[in-house]
Amino acid sequence: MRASYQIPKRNWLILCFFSTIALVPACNKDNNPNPTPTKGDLEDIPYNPQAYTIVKPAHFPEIEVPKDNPMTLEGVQLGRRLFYDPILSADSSISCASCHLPKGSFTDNKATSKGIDGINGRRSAMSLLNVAYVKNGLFWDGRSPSLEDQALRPVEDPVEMHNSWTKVVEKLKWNKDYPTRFRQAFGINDRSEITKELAAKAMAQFERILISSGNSKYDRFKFKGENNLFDDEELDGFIMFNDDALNQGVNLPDAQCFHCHGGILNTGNNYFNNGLDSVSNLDGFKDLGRYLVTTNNSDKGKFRAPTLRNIELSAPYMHDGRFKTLEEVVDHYSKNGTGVSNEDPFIRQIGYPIQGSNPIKYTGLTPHQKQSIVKFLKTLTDTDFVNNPDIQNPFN
Amino acid sequence: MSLRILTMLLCSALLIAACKDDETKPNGAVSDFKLTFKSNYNGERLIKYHQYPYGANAYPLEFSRFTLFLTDVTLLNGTQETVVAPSLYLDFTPDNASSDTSAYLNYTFANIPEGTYTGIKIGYGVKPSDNAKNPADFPPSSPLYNDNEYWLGWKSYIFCKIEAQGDSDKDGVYDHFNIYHCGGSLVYKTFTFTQPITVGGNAKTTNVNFDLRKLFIMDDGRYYNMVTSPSTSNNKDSLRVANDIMGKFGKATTLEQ
Repeated sequence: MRASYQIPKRNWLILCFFSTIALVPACNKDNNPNPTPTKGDLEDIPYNPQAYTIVKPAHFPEIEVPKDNPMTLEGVQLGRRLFYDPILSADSSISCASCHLPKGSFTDNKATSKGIDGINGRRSAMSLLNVAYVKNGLFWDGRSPSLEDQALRPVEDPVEMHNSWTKVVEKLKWNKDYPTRFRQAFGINDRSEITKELAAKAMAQFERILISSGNSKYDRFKFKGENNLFDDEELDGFIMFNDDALNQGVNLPDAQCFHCHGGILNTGNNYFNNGLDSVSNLDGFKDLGRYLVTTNNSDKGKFRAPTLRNIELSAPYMHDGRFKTLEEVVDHYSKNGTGVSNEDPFIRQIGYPIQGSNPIKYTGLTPHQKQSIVKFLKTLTDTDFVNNPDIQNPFN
Repeated sequence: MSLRILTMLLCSALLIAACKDDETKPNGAVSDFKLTFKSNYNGERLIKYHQYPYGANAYPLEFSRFTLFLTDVTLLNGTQETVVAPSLYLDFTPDNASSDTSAYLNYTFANIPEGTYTGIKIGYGVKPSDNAKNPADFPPSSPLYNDNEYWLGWKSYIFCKIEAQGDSDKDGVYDHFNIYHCGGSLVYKTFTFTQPITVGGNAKTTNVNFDLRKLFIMDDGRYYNMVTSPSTSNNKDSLRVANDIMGKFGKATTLEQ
């Protein structure tokens, strides 16, 4: 026999009163600077992540996704919001997208970028196009081994967002939207489980979808069989870029570009001294580049070769943005280096070999040849990528 | 009495069966097989930007890059072949090294039948059937996924990269630059090395050494002229130069276990 208990009417009123008092602090949670998360407060939100298949051109290599950060629709959507949300910076004034805008192929088209304190960074923002393929270190000096690691860094960089992850995570925990999204993406049970690592994973997922459309003029010409798409100058540029004159049976010099910007992705992902600075010894570089990571003396003044896809949209050029135009870039390479000891040998052999020179010197490129290279580089422009609605600011 | 005999017979039969198992073990058992690839110059471990004497006048030569694809690294036992590695990409001068000393590249291949093999066969470069494909045809786990090492113009992987600079007139200025990037199915080479190699038991790691100096010593014993033939690009003789270099790997490779 079950015991039953009926609450007297007067006691109901007392119970309601105290319950209301107890609920008041809960309503104030968002304003409480040091609230305590309720255990399991997100458990009622469904967690059914949908696997996300990255769209890539058929002629592009497969994209490797870390086993501990599988792609999900919810993860990508969360990462996209975090990427565009100034909540990450100390004064909520800048986001990742402040330096990596779609229209600049995820650069800001500045030589160097300013952080929240108005201080210029030391290097130019790199394009994030096809960043999912980068396996040999991110940033110009390769100091970060993965997208998940890279995504953590700008938040605490004093010349970028100048914040602390502790503060960011607190803001995310008590934001009206993000806890739900973290639950949907990663299955956390309560907001106390939001971490910087999960935020970085989400942003890495978003960055992995920043893949070329495969519809650039170059892609259509080279990989989709539209053989008559290039004009004569673009074709000459293509041949010189790829050291293909012998194969094509034409008399054109080698511009040596593809050795560092080769493959389907147009980047070697390696580190080079590309002859920017004439210094008397390797310690003379203003920016020591890759050396700061490896501490290997011969890496001084070396930087990662970026992708040339969408290079027309990502001016200015080089790690310090010193060249405003592609013409300036090609002019630089046509000078055949400066003679610094760890310069890449390819930038010493641009043009035709000069007959009778010993050791062999090279002519560089004529103005018309340089123009042809620039015209070819512009065939790498991929407007379908920069206009892709899936990668735009979700807050607009 | 007869039960005792029967028991003894049964035990003997079991022992014989056990002995038979032991005898067949060398054919059925598998073990790890360890290979270490090393790059040298004149028998010494290769160091980037180290001055090596080169040519008749022993001018200083510095190497800055050495990479190599291998295909079908195969253990031989008479006519039997055991492929231990279908494809390998060896980067002896990786960008993430903290020193200029060339890397020793260690590989362990699991489940290789134990025994003593008579030799090893190595394909230098990427075999034509694989070279007809491109990085998009291979999974990320494959060395042939490496888009950085694919030459779109020639529709080929770059089988071997050797880069160097020299001061041929010994005036203190490094003014000749060497770029030997070899590719194209025509220059793919296979060499067989006869030497006992043991897998299993306490077998030591097998070292495969590549000596860069031997790649540039011609058949008549003279040094290859790096000044007049500085590269495989920008060069009408590029195929010949690439073929010469790839063809020397037979002499430039030594094994030890």
